[in-house]
Amino acid sequence: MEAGAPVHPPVPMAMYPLLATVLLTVGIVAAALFFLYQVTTTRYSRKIAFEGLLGLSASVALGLGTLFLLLWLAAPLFGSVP
Amino acid sequence: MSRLCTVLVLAACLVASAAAADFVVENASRRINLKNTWAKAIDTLKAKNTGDSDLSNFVVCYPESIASRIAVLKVLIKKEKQEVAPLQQAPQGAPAGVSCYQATFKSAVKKGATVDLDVVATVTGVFKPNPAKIAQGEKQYVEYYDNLYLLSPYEVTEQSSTVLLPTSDVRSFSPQDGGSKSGSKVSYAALGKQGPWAVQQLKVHFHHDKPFKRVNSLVREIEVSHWGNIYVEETYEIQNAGSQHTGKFSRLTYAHSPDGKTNSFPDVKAHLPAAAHSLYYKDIIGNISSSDTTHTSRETLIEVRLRYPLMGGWKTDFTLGYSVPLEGFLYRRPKGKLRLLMDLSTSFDDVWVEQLTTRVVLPEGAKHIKATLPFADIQQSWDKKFTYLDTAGRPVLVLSKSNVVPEQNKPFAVDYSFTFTGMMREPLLLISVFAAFFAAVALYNRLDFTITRDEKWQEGQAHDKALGLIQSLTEYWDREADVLDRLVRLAHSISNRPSADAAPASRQALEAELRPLDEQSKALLSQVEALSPKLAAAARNHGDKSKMLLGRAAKLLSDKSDLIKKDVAAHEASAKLAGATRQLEEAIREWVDEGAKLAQG
Repeated sequence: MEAGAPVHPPVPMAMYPLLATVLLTVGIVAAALFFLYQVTTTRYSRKIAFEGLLGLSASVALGLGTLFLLLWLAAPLFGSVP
Repeated sequence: MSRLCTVLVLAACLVASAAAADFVVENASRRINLKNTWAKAIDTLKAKNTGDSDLSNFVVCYPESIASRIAVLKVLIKKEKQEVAPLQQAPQGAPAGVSCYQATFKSAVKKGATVDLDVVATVTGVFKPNPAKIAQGEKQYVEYYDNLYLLSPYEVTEQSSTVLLPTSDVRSFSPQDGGSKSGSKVSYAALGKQGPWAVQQLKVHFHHDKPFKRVNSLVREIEVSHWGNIYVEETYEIQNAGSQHTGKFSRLTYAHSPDGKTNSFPDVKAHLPAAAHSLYYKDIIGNISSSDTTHTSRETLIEVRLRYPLMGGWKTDFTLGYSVPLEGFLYRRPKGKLRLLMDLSTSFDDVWVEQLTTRVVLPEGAKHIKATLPFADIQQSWDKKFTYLDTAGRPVLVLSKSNVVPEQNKPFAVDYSFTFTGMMREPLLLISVFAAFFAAVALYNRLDFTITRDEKWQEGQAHDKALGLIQSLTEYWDREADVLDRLVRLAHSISNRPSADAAPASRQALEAELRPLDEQSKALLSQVEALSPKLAAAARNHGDKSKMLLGRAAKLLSDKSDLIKKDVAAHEASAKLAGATRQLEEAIREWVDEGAKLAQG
């Protein structure tokens, strides 16, 4: 059967552990900054733009970090993966 | 078996004269290979077209008991496969209990010409253990039943049958006359001319020394993840289909003598792809640690030792899983499609599979799924699987086939289309979950659930609002601090007369910058006043301090200019004013910190 060019993963699998730890660390730090901003300001002094930026970057980092964590660990632990 | 015998013999008496008036088999040489745990019958025929025209159809037949267990049937002319299809009804005059197939030749056989063809049939499950039950240590004897002659609608001029056995221990073979046994071969050399549908039961009762490894059911699940891996998980139910074990099982006898093992087997070997990794071997109890894996550059050989040795009739089940990378199995096809190439069946040696189910799980969002299969008798159906991060479920293509032997473990292809955005669905799902959480927190912090809105609450609100305004004020204060810093730097940079002359102008410019800032901060301050006089007073204080600092900075600047104008060297001047400069800088820092503290409330 004919085949074409091989398909490569978008992120090399060897980088999963590094990506997962780095992204999760960044995400947790960003989440911490977000919560700090929430408690150190009053509702009159908060700026939505800054809040949105912090929240978005925290959720992107945490989301991607969780994905790579899942990709890295689910196969050895459970035998199959996203 | 005796019923087959009767039926065939009875049928033989009703041999119809209407033989197919097309081919005559001039020579049929049958070799029935019983060395494995399945039978392989190779009939080498030389057929002559005695009909009136060119013919391209040829009928081959088998007794029903064998035909129902045929796994592979091939008709080869000069090693080229011809088309074979089962015939719904046996041709005219066939005795009962006969199944036929029709081969369609690629090039027709001319009138009067002869054609050499090979008919190869691989048949499973046709060995009947006799005795059916044996004790541990006894040898396994099986019987094989077939038709002695070539079962054919054509007249056969000359034929011979040879049965190749795995051992030379033959208890009996029938019919006796015409047959001779030499070593592990029973041959009927010259069987003479036979009419069409010549039936005669052939029975060989011999010792089969190989264990019968039968996989009752195999579910092979192949899950493709575009993030980099293909996960294969195979669930087996494997049984020893030889003579059944009866009586006691002694582990001691088993371990210490070869007789204790006879027709049993403790393990199965598999040849997995070389890039296979993360192998696991487990069953419902848990992990099974008795396995050996050898990685070579060409394959990964795994020897899977079952939890207990399978004596005759015993069965067990287990799951074997492994992962392979995408490279070597997933390819790009034109028009944005992808092709997955995997083997259909198990990679274990020496097993045949009664019921094979191959499930191909494609990523969620895969569309236009089409399979190219190596055999026509594979049933396709669809299913859905819900696993990690799935919302709508992953499409599963289910392929089923029964009676599969190792030579049928061929690759099959599944074509589908799957976009990059489809792959991004998973991280986007995770990101949106986290974003929703943060948005909920932000929203919650903006809500006010106070039950009684009394004076104290009002004061608190006013205080908060005032603090908010002061935080905007800090922007102006920062700009003022910046101007102060620049003044100090300007003072520092004066090193000669021309720059000293230019200094006042720069000072004016910097002070001019401060003026609009003052206006705006005044406006804000009045707002703060309305809300909280106390905070307003503190803020005003703070603003006034900056005026004082401005004065000191101006004085420093003029001092430096004067010194330079008096022709004092630049570094001397700097040294003289070093103390004052440092103090001023410290004062500015302190002022900035104070401002920050004020904004925090």
